[in-house]
Amino acid sequence: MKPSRSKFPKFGDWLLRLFARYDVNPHLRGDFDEEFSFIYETKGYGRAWFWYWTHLLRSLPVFIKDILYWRFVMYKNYLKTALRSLKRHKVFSFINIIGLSVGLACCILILQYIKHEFSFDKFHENSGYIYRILQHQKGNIYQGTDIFNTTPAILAPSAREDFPHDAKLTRVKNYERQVRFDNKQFYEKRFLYAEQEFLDIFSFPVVKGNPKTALKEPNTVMITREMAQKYFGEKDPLNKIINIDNKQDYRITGVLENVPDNSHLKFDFLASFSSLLSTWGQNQLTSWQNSSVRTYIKLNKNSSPQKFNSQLKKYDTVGFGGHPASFHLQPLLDIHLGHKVAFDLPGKGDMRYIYLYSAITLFILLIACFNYMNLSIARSFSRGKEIGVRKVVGAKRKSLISQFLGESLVLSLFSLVLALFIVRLALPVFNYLIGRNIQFDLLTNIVFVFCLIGLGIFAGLIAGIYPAIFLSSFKPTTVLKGRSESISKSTTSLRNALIIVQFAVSVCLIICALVINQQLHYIKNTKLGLDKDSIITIPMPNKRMWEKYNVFKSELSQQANILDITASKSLPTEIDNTAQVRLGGKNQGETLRVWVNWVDFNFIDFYKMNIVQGRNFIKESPQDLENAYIINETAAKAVGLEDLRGKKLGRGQIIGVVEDFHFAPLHSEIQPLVLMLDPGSLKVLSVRINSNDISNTLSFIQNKWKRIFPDFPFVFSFLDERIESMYETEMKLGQSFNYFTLIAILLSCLGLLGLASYMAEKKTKEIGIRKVLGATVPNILVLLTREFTRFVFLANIIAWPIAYFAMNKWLQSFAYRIDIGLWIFAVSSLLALFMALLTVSYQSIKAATANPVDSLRYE
Amino acid sequence: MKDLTKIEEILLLSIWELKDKAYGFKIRHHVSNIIGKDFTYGNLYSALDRLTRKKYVSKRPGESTSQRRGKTRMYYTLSSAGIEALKSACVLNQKLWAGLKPCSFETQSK
Repeated sequence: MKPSRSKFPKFGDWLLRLFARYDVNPHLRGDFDEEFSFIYETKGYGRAWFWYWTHLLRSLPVFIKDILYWRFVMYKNYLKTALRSLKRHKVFSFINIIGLSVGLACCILILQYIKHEFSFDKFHENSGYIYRILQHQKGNIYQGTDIFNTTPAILAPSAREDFPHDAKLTRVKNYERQVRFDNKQFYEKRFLYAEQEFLDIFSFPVVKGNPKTALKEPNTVMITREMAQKYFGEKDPLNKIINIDNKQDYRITGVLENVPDNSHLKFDFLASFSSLLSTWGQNQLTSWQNSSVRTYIKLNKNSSPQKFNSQLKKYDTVGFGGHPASFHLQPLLDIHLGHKVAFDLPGKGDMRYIYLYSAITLFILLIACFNYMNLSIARSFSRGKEIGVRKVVGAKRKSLISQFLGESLVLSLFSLVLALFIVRLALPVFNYLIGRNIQFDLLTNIVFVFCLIGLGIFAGLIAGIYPAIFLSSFKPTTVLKGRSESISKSTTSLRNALIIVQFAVSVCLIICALVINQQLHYIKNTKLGLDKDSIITIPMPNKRMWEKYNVFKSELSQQANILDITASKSLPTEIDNTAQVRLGGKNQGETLRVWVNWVDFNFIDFYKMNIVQGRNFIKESPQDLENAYIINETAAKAVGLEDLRGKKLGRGQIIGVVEDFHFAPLHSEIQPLVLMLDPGSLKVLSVRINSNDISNTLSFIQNKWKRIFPDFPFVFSFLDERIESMYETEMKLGQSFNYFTLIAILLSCLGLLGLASYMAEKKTKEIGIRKVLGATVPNILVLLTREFTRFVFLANIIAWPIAYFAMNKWLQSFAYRIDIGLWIFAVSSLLALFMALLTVSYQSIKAATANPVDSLRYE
Repeated sequence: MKDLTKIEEILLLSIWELKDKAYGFKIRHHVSNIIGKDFTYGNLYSALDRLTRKKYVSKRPGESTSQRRGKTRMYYTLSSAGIEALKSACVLNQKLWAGLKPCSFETQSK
């Protein structure tokens, strides 16, 4: 009995249709059916069905192998045509490969950057359970926020006692210390004090020493591998004694692995917290007022941040200046990219920069992709014949699309390889700009290699998808008859839109770069209110040194090139102490927050500041040493504008008013300031020197230093360089914008160049006819460049508001800033226009001056 | 001319023997009987394709039956090149076996 139609395995048949070879497909399925019926008639449905499926599954591998083989042959053909077309259109390929590789290189760099930023502190085993305790002093605004990352020293011991089962805590305090071993002595900035729990909470690997006991005793310290090398070379550092600040001896109890770049806590020395007892005294360590240590905490699994936050409510207290203080947790992983808090450690990341750089990179990649789209479409009419022939021979639309996508993929993978070279070259510059030390090693990171290939494919698809769909839609009859102009007309609007977007991005970047550079120029040339030139500053952090201050001073003044010497607690451009003072007079009872600097008596003369009212300090006047204040104009205004003589501020006597000077970066407005004399608080020496023969003067100072302070390292810096380094972030931002703008303009112009040459080629006949009819060369130039000029103008209109908005926002972060003048817009527009015309002009002039006979002779 | 592989030789011989009835189903059964194993359609058509590309066989679509649900048979016939290839394979085989009694290994092992 023959099987009825419904008995045949439908799904099996469908599978066969999908996988069996194309050329014998129906016959093969027929054979399967025939054998199925044969077995059905002789042995029944079950056996037939069983045979069908087992046989199908056994045959399937061979079918699939065959399919892959044929696919491969086809792809080989596509690859061949792709490479051939790359070779034939050299300008086109060059523009695209350069553009895409620069775009991809930017992307790779930014990806590395983002990866690095997000990897901060993730290497700690318990990173998800570690928190830092923040202190909220409501209303006590400092550095733009009232949240501090410092806490009272007593907080951690109290919490340890009250909640022993919820968490592990450690106090951390960083200092700059002078470290000496034998004849090696340096100032070490990354010197950290921490408690025993520190190594339990964080996962900093210990190379030598016992992590359980290394930080227990006072006057013990662990050092990193790098420091071991620096001070001890190949010798074993364990149990060696190093001298700290010429005061104490610390014993080395362990060696740690170097702290990774992606740790927000960076240190070279890790000393036991109990060592601080001798310098701080018991009072400081148990005070709720001394808010100068950071507290880190690892919650146990049975606790939660919410629970612990409510437990911390117990410690609500009164902070600096009577502001109410409360405490809460901040996750470790939020520290690097989270909100700014007061006293942030240097090197903190900023989410805004990540967004900014990502956006710019994306724009650059888009410009490169647009170039590809534009050029492919512009070229389409010359490829029309190829497409027509392929279609006539029987190519399906799907296979044409995959051919053109293949071409763009080949191109983008090509560019990817080139991009890797560019990344290698640009990495040092990039690391400098972002202030990080990112390594680029492909071989160690397989995941990243796959990401890269993914990126290449992504760019290829973005660039190629539209041209592929567009090119494959050609009707063979139209293109083979040679009416390709009608096709390219339909895409003109898209092409124009792409060019306009490209130029809008470029103009935007030009405006931003101009504004940033203007602001930097403004910062550099703002009158600070003091003379900052030819001043070297020498830190003298140790109190013992000041005993010989006068000796050193008189030794130095013998040299003719040393003009003047003074000393102060902070440099006049970096004042960082604040105090609350009680106001007298009619504002009795109110307090005023002032910034304080302790200075030597000649400080004001040395920095050439102006006394606008009252008098300067008098040398060796016991009265002045006792309680004389010199305040700045802002403080004078806050106190009351009348005659200040004899007026009191807090417990001080105001003797004079100094003209306002910028004692902090220009981000903030000038605040009230008090200068007072105190030989005991001085920390840094300022020396004004003659600007000729600086090196000799420096070596003179160094020799004197070695004689008078043999136990202290000689370190110096120039004041004007220190001021510049305060604006490092802004300076680097400016430089990045310069680079990015350059790249964006270059890529846009490359695209325009390619397009212009195709346009000129397309219009050869039109130009020929116009010339025959009497058009002059300028006429034709106008004809060819008119369109591009219009694009640039449209681009400007788009770019202006965006750039204005962004830059206005950026400038808000400065209290002292430039106005965005109209001229910046005018200049950037003219610049863009000039670049566009310059790019187009070569092709246009060539086309306009060509002899019409050449272009028309085949007509 | 390259030598035929064993499976190609078997296929060519089967097509030759089946004469005008040489299509997928029949060839598969014939070959399976000869080699004593189930020879799958996958292997069959892959090998037939190789022979077609080497021009040893030619193919033409034929009639259909109700068992095949309307899908036609694909008939294979030997081309002259195929016959030449078989001839040289035959000569090679004869040379290989010359002087040996076929299938008399028992005597040799003594």
